[in-house]
Amino acid sequence: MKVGERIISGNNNYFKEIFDKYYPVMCVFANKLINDNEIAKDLVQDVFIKILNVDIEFENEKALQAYLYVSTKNTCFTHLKKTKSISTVESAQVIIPSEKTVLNEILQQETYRLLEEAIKELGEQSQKIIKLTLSGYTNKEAAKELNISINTVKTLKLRAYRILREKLGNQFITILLTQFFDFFN
Amino acid sequence: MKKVQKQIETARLVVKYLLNNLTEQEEKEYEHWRKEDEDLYSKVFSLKNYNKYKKEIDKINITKEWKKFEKRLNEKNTAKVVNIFPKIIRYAASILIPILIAGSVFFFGYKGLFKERGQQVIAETTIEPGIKKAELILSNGNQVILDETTRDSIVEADGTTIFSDSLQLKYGIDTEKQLAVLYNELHVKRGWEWQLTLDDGTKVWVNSMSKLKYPVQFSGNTREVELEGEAYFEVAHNPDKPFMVKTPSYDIEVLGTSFNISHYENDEFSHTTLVEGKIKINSSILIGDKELSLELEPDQQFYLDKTKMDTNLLKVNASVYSEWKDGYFVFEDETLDNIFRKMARWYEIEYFFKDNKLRNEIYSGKLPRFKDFKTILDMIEEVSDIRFDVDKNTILIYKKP
Repeated sequence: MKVGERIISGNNNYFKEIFDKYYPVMCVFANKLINDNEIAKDLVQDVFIKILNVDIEFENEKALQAYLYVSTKNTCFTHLKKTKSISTVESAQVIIPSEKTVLNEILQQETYRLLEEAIKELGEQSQKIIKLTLSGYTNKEAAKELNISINTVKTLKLRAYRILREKLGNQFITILLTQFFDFFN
Repeated sequence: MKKVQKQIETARLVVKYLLNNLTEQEEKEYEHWRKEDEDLYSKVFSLKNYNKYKKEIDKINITKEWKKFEKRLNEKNTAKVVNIFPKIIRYAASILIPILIAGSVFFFGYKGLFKERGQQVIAETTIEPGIKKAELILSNGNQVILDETTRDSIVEADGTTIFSDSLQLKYGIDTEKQLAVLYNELHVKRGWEWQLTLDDGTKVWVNSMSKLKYPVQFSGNTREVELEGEAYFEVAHNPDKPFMVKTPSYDIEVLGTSFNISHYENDEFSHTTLVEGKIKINSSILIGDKELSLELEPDQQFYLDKTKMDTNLLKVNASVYSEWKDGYFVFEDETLDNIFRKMARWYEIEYFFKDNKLRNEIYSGKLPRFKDFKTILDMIEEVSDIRFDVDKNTILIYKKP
């Protein structure tokens, strides 16, 4: 596997990074499709074994990420079809999720992943504040919950937003401008 | 794939919205998405769903999962342990893989290279590749050289006609029963390879530095041949008359199938790889207190470490071991030592490693067999840190400092 100019193999750090970053979310995604925690983990392991061995060049990490979702989906579908043929009666109700369902799941899991990833970079107190905010707490409620002043909440929140903005970066904007047209056509 | 990419981008947009960080343009796009897909919008923004996600993520122990993954990665080349083997050496998996050269890159890289370095190649001495050639020893001991110019038929003492055209040797079927079994031997020397069709229709490709001994006609209840070196067999189906290949260490019993055997005297190992059908390995080697007897499935390889007399069953990509007959060297996670030992059977070269550690470095790749050796070396240099000093037929192998 190659990402950009980098050759990736099982014993290099970049691959470990990718694994740490995407393995959990792929497991959650796979579990949504097949509804079995343990098998989901095994299937995602297969996906990661496969990408290492397959002779593909990904333009960048984003392309790899999309491939991971698609590959996980395919692996899960294969699994669903197999289970169906093994015991037809028992799992006659196994339904292969529609494309729409799959795409919705991707958007949902990816949103949460990104959010968690960004939040993880913050200090402990800021993390708590952001999480409370995302859960619908007002500044006042958050201050009470954390036993700090409302001004501290405001300051920490502003700082956290600034860091998150930087983290999510401006590259996002340019990519959107070029790709968003397709999206709504 | 594009749709998936869009979902990933939208996710980013949603997160930016959550952080109050949308530009005017983004805000429009975001609103558009929200109106178009109210349903999904409410799902994403459900606190319940978000918490469920976090709960699931927290359940995954990433350190444990990584360990499991690494273990599986190391085991990927080792097939399931068969009960009769008390000891399994993890051969292919136990060595680190510093560079994985994709076969296609290796091969396709060649054209551009040739253009660029064409002139340089002409200026240097070339080391020619091997050729299709063999020496046939008839039952009376007479020797016949076979090569691309041979177009001949030879009649054996029992009346069997041996046809030789420019590429292969064919044994005509004689319906008359012969009294004595006559043997022919095919000697394929360094830099040679040859193909033949035995009297039952079985095809054999014999690789460099190999000997095949076989009866001119198969009589009796079995079809038996003897091999030293490497050969690829496509055995004609005949369930009433099992086909047997004997090597110095073990026998292969066949029921109609294709497989490759490599059993060189100067290799520390021997392996037999099944492409399709079914074969059985029999040997007097003791496994526990029983003699070895093992059935192979396609894409399995019987691997014998001849020095330790250790046996192993590996899961492999069988085509890797038979592509030599189609004009390629294919290496999959092989040591440089093995790669050059194979090359030196085909090219008249002597090679030395500057640093002995280099011998055990692992490489993969696909190389054409019918090119002069300098081309091969250029291709290797192109994609790796390995460098060569060539002096006539002597090659010094070292790593780019």
